[in-house]
Amino acid sequence: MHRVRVKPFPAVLLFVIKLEMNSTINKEQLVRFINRETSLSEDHQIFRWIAESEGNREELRQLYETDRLSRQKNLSAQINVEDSWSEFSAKRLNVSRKTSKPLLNYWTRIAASVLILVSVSVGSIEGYRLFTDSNNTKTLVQLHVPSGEKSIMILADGTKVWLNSESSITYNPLEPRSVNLTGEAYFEVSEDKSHPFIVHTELGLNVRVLGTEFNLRCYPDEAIVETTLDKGRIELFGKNIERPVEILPGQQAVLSENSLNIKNVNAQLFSVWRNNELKIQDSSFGELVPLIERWYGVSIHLDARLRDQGQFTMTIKTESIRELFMMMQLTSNFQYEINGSEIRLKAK
Amino acid sequence: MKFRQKKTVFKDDLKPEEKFELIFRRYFFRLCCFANRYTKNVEESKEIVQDVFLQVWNKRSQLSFDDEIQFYLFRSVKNSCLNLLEHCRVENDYHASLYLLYSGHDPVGDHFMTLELKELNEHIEQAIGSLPDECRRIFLLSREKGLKYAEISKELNISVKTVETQMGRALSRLRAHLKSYLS
Repeated sequence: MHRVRVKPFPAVLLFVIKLEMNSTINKEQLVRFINRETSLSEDHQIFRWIAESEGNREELRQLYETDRLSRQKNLSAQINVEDSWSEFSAKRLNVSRKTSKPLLNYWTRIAASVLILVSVSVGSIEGYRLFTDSNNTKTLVQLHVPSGEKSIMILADGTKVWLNSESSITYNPLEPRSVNLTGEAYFEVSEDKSHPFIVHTELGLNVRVLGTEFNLRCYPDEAIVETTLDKGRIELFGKNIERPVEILPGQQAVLSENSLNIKNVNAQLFSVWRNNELKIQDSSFGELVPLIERWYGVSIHLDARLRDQGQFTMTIKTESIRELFMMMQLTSNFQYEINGSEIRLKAK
Repeated sequence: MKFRQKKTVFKDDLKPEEKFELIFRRYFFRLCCFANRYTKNVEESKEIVQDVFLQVWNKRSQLSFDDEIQFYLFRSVKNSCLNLLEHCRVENDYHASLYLLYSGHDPVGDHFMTLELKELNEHIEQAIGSLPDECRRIFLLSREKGLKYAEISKELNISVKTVETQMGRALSRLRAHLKSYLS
């Protein structure tokens, strides 16, 4: 008798077939999945398994919810309704009650009576929008300055506000001494002792002012609020600050991750962006770099060998940062590398 | 188990802001518990609930602040959570699975709306208390200290396989105990 030898399937193929025909997943594996103890390929396998049937989904859902319930106890410790309410109240103040439809009939009246816009050579305000809240009692004005531009405006009470690029300010024209800021602005607040001027930021830090000049930077993507005082007196308060803190001229307060640090700085450096031009006199790389960082909103890594080199005198107006470096390369030997807002300056 | 539907009687002379605050205080915690079903952590849950309240506040002219609002709140929180899951599901199969679990048919999680949370927590405690000793010890190390399987195995000097078995057992038993909250 002649026997035919059957060639066995390769092992790998058998494994695949088994998986597809019988994709059972045991309970331990599901629980491991819920506890994030599974490997990527197991995750994938489970994903396919639950996509297979309603029954499988129900099985996982019940186990998953049991798991969530068993963690419920910790929640009471982590959620404080009182704190949440104050957090909410602050947010509510901050977010303008905007509806997307601008009410144009308010435009002329408010523009004429309350707001004077001064456009300057540095740039212009992209546009200002008026919002009304749902019961029509409040109209809010929002001014936004687009990327790469700067602007200046004067509020009804005489307060001057320089707005840096990608910043906006929102306020109710009936209460011009209470504004919300996102981005960066320099305030020259006109004095009115009986009506403090208040700036709100989204990170829950607010500034109360009597009459003063200061710079406030709170870009949402930076997650910090930096307040630098030039003159006068201001007080910081808000939900993330235990008690109001007063800072003095030449001091800077930085709020990040719920801690507030105050240090002495060269205050003028932090508002250099608001000028029409940046004057540099007899400066070395080390002196120049912080100015350029603020002017262009970039961060510069400076080769230590360059620090004391150079003696630059120039005025920057509308030059791009590349133009500036090219200009500097005429008198100094260095290389630059631009990577988004990160810049490296290297000695040649 | 008692389901208690709390009726809210607002005095007519309450201003909308006052009613809103009452509603916030009454539902905030519940909504966070509810959101926590879908989210990674409490902070995320809190943020979602905060945002939903902000939407409610902004739409206050179209909404009436009475008992009915809870359905709106729970539905909005769920939608936000699903949006978040949908967003995360491209990144990993874990979120993709959760999205699959909840985007289709989904029981509302009524107990978060109606049950006294204290009672719920007592039931959970009881259920955990009724686990066999070793099983409970292992389970609590995972819950209270947040230990991974390998860490538990080290701490108790047992095999990872044992941890895996006991964790599976713990959750299955808890599920049986808490069945009425899972429908």
